[in-house]
Amino acid sequence: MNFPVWDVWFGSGILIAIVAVVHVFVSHFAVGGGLFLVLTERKAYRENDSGLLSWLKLHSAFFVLVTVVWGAVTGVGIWWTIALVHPQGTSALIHIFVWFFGIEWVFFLIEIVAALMYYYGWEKLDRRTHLWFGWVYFIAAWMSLFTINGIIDFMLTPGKWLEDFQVWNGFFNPTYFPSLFFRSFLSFALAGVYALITAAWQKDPALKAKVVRWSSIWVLLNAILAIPAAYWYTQSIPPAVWAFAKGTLPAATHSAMLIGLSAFLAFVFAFIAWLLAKRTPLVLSLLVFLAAFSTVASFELLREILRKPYVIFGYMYGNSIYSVPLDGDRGLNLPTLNERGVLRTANWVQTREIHEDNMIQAGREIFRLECQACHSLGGYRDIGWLLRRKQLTGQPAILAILGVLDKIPTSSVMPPFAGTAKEKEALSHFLTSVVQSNS
Amino acid sequence: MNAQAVVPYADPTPLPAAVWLLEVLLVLGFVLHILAINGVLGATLIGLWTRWFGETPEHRRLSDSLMHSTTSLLSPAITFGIVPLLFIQVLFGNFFFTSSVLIAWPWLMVIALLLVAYYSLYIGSWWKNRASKLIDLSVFLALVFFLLIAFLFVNNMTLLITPEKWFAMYIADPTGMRLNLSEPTLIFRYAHMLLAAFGVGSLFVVALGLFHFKKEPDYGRFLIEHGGRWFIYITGLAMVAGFGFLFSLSAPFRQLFLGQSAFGTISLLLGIMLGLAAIFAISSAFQAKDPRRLAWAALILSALGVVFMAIVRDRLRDAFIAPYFHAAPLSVRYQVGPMAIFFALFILGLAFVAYMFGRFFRPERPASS
Repeated sequence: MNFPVWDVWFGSGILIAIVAVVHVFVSHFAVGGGLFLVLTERKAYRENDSGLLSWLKLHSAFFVLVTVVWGAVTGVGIWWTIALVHPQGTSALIHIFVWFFGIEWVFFLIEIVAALMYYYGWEKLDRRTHLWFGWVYFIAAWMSLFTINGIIDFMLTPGKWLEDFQVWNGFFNPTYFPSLFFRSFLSFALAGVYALITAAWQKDPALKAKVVRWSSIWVLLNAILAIPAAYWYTQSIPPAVWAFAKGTLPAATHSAMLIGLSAFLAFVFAFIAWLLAKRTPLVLSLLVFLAAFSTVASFELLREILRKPYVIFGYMYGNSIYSVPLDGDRGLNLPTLNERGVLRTANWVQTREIHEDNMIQAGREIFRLECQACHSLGGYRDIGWLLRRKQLTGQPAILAILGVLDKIPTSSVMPPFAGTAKEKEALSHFLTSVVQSNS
Repeated sequence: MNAQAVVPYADPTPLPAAVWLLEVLLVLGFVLHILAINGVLGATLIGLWTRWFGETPEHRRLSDSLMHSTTSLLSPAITFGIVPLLFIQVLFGNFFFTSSVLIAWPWLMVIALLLVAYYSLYIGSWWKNRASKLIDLSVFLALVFFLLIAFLFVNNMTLLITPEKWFAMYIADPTGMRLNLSEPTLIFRYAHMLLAAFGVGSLFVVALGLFHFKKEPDYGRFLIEHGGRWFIYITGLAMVAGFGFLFSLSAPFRQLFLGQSAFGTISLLLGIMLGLAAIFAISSAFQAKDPRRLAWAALILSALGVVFMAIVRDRLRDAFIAPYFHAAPLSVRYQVGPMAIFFALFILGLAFVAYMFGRFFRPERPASS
């Protein structure tokens, strides 16, 4: 409401989810893949295996095309997208962590330069120097994860930062270390997942068997190591929040179950690949890939859902309203909005006063300000469909539910309605018009 | 509605350092980014041109080496772009986020266009059959997409500094499906930025010439002269477009650079003079027995020219948005520890990258399997 709300008919939230997932799936590969490259190169030298080395050169080309291009551009893309959908939240993160973003940038710069030198150095550098560039790449990539991990986890578990606003407390927050371990093992497993794709293309049966076995071990071993890290992660999330994933909230529970199922399938498929070795078909590698993608997507989705109704837990709601008053928030917090009114406080509205004859128009503007960050009119989390499904079709029933948004059993992930009684009434009239026009 | 009333408030979180320091980093980041981007644009344009119209083996060799360079140039160009993106969001987030939302869909298209352009350049660089038409098509597509991306950037940057348009735009269409096409300075600004980018970018060919000169003086001289000619002609056009841009500005803003503000005027004058000096240096290099010193001078002078033009751009933005800053000054709370770590890593990181270049181009031992 401080910023204009981008009106995306199918729902802006889904846009973030798509860009985030396709980025995260590659950015983690970019970290683990670095270690995979150097250890595989060392293995090839130790075993004097020129076939393995030839495959690795091919695989490093694939690695560059996936990580340096797709990973880097979608990384900018996720920033672009969150800034459009959640400018207030993005602004907060940038202001709190600008130096950390800067630190991450330095590691990323080294990472990118090292990746290109590693690839173009195959024919140019001696073995020792070439491996050195590989290690530089991996260490820089992992340090990049080390830095960005603090900012990502801060959003779900800001911890003591909420009390003292000390940036180190926000960075090394309660889920920082479990998440770092979990994401590290995930990235090493993904290195094996991607390698299985290029391994399956190999014609030479002996080489194919060797690469498939080696890559499968990366998936299997790291999937096992990720389990205690994942458990530690879940134990670091406040119990009340984690309760959503354990049954209170259907969407979170489904995501949590999907993580387990997808990871299990990825493990089983990778194990079958290990057994089949030289007979591994490309389709099996793709099944491992898809199951791993589903694991990562569900994990990211679960993290997003658990954070609801906040964009920064305990600080800012998903609709950019501060949950408590802050110095300099210009009244964009829940208590002040309840007292002063949303329409009189927000920047981007036409209707400042509510009368009998402009109820629906005012309600439409309130919907855009307070609801559209998560709901849409006809798209993702379509508000008309949701209200009909809950059999809330009359204005009095809708008005009643607006008063207890944050207390609805099985979906207590909504921010409370912010605004005056008159504004709540206007929103109820607009929502009623939506339900009735679609029925 | 009063434009001032819709400009979002600055973030309640205090700035993590003084405004001047963040602004220096913003300008520095922009200069690094734009120099690398210029290199990409220059290499793509000249690479394609010499592929199509080059008649000698040197032209063909140049074209191929430019096609191979573009991808390695684009990586740091994008990475350097993160720096100004970061600091503009800290300092002017309330302007930048808003203008971006108003043109959200075209703005988001930047990412898709960049992705396709990037992969297209890889086709141009890695495709084995160098005679394939696919290379022509993909590099041409990349060039067109770069021009579109630049156009979208100019749209956003001009909308950022004109908050008086925002509310009407948003009320007319909150879906973000529009551009800032009514902006009177748009075409001049776009033409100037683009031509200057191609001009400076063509110095990448001169830099290649310096790289080759010691071992292959004839080829090195050819590159210095070829790149130098592109630089002279396109920079000349960029200056014409630059004057067009200056005079498309309304009088109060134009006057800032024509005497009213000493800092603005001197910055612009230095920018122009450094550009002219670079042209003089490179054209003198054509006649010199050993053109290297003058070619280096042209590179350094034009890079300095870019620094002053970036300062002019910064001053212009500040002048435009000055009336819309809300009364309360931005509060500052230094994050001393993280800031010190950043600066230390920044310096060490750049030194380490330089060391990597040294190690890459001067391997300790000859290539072995």
